[in-house]
Amino acid sequence: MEYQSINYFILPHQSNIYGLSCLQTEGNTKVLIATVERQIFCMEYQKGLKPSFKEVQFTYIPNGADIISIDSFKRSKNSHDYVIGITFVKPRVTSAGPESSTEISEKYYFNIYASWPPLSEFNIDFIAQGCLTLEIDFVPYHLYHTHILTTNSNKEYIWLLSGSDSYIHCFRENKERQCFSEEPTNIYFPEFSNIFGIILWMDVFYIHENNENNPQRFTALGYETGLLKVSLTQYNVSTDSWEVLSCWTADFDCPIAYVKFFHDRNSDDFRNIENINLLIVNSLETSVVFRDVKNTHLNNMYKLPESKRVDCSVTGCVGDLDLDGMNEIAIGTFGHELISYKFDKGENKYKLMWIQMFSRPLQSLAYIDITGDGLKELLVLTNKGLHVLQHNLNESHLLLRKRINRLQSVIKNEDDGNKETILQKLKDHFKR
Amino acid sequence: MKCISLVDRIKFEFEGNIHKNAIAFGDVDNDSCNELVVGNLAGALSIFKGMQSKPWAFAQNLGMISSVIVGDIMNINKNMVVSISTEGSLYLFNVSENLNYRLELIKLGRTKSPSVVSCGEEATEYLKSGKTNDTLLLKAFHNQRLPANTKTSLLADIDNDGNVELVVGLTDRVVRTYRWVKLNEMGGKLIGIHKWEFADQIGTISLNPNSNDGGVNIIVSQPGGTYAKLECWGKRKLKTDKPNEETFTIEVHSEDYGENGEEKVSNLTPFYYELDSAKMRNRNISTEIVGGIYGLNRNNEETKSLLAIGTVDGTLMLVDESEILWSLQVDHQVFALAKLDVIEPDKEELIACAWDGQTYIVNRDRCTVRFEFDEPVSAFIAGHYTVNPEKRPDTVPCLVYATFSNAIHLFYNVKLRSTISKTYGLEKFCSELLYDFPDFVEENEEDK
Repeated sequence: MEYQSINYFILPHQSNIYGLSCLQTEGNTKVLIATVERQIFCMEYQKGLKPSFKEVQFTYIPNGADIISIDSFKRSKNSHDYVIGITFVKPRVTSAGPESSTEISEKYYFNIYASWPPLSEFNIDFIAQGCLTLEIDFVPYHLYHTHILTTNSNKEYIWLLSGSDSYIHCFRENKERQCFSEEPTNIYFPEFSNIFGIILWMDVFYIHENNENNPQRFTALGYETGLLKVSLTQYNVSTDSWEVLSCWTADFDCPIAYVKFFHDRNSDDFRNIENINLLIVNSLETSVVFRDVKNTHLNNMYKLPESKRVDCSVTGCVGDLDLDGMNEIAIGTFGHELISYKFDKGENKYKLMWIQMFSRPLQSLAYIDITGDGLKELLVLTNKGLHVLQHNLNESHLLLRKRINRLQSVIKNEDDGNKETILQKLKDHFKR
Repeated sequence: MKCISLVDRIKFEFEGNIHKNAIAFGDVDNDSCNELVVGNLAGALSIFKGMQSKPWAFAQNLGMISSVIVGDIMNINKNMVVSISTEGSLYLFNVSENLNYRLELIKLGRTKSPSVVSCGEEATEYLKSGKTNDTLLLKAFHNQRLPANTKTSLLADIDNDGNVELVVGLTDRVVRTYRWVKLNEMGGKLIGIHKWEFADQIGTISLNPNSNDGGVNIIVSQPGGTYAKLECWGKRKLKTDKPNEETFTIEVHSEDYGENGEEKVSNLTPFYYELDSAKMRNRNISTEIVGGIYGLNRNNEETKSLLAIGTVDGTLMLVDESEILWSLQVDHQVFALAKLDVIEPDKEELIACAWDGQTYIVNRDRCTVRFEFDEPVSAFIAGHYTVNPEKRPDTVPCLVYATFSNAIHLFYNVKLRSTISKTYGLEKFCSELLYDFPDFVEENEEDK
């Protein structure tokens, strides 16, 4: 096993599949975990690998509320301007009439936390105080953020929230009034019309984004009914609107727990030339990958062998888990197992790489550099706590050394000592 | 404090409440694999072997079992299982013999369920209760009455004569020792040797090597985080003449007077250690002790005679004779202490378990790792167990929790890499090298 657990943080209550959110701040990465008992924990590593795991008091989450989903993003590139969204349900007991029969009705809320104005340094406690509460009339499911392109091709982040009313709600910030409000989804996401069912997970993936003429995007929706809907839309500059180019569906027999677009190669340099693949984690069936969605649509399906070996798959993750520059797939299951897959180019199929057991059912995964040491860690959220798994340091050290040697042999001595130039040369070299 | 989660576990089915000393690891059938022996308050004794969740061997009607031990009590290089009940009945089981007997019966083809024959009525009753037919039914080959109120027991060669003695701690503030004496070919009995009375209630008894002469001392924990030491070796010898055919004599040669006539008997009385920090605490707090920990003593010399003390109010201490090397306050009620090598090789860590399942693993430098077992615990031990006796006879470090919900949980492969997390401060450049350059490109390079 090439990963080793460096820390394990025990949660007092369990979370859910929407309960983990990573927040990239200046200097380090933080992880927010929402438990159902309205507690939100922030985990981060300070300098010297000192872990800190503390509860953050978010305002306006009433007693008795159950948090459903949490998500966060950085609003603007330059300043410490973060937005955190939390959806929760609050049971309300109303006594109806003299018969003193009590009726329990539930109310749903979407709280958006942000600091106005942006702070000079990151302070989660401060953000947790600035709250905007939106009452919603549906059961919230997956809370997701993505950006839209505004007229002068600026990016602006918006919230997408799937609901029990078979609709994806869109929340956009009104800059002048400094608040978020719901807007018709069709304006920005025409492909999200005609939804018949509950969306458990969604993913939005932009391609040719910097192309002024025709930026495109893929969207994937995973239904509770097992329907998968993938759409390709294109931005029309002349009408300033998005047009649906094509739309494909596939039907599975079980709820789709997770969808994710990804490239085979990890590096940003290959973004525009690589094929786009789509990972589908099926809760009860074999999970699959649709490869090269753009050209072959949903016809190129690859099964992930043994992915239904344990009872129920609940989450997935895509990342370069073995440090070879190619993206691997990890699937988290309720049956305590984390299963990882690697694409074998020679045999043209996905192969099982390793399986790691955990003591509890898995709920969410993330592959980010939480320790800030340059190596990414695999975060595994189980219903009891959060595991931080680190690469085997000796192995990755050897690998790094090997690559530096290779790099030295490739680039002749002309640029000795100038790392940036060497790196750039190496990148150019590999691109050819 | 760092937390860990343990994945590999075996859940054994065992009904009833378990006294905290009525659980032990040991090689019961002399096959060099370790098994787990558990006794409950209803008098049932079970032996678990390998991954099988049902008992591998079973005995019953043993009284309120308060202590079980596995060891060579008869000094014949064969491990026996010893069960002692609160009422004072001691039973000895020869598991290998029981196994052989069953094999013999099967060979002769005398019966379909040979275990029934070997144990008579008890067995039929037991089989009716729905347990598996494969379970070996144990029959005690020796049973003896000891004074009642046994709380804890252990086997050790306390007088350094090469033979082990049975040391028993009673709730009557008494520690006794016994020796097995062979009477004839078939049997023998345990004969009492020493008896000590203590000022206060006994928590646990443990052993500590005598740093000077290689013998072992008994250490007895006393309330309030203190302990007493019993030094037996070399001070008094008990000689048994070879038993004759019919009669045997046992002579106690009092050697309480040394060569120069000075009185030595005082050495047999307990020596109390009043640890410094004990003065400011509750004098009645119950205390656990484990001795024989390998580490550095107060003079920074390597020694094997450090001892650890844990109290129910959550104090853990590493002690060298009368000096506290370090102490640690935890906010859970520690009721069981053990030592086990789980982190660094050849170094033993202290393991403390609280009633609510919180477990602390502390190394010599006081670095602590916490493991949360989710249930209340009635008994806890740490030791070595053979998980896969058929394929791999080696033992692995294990933690065992007996719960109040008719199950015993054994966590195996308890191997931690380090209590302290490490990292490389990789530069962005290195990070890009690791993530952005695929191996297959490098291989192509080699082809050229």
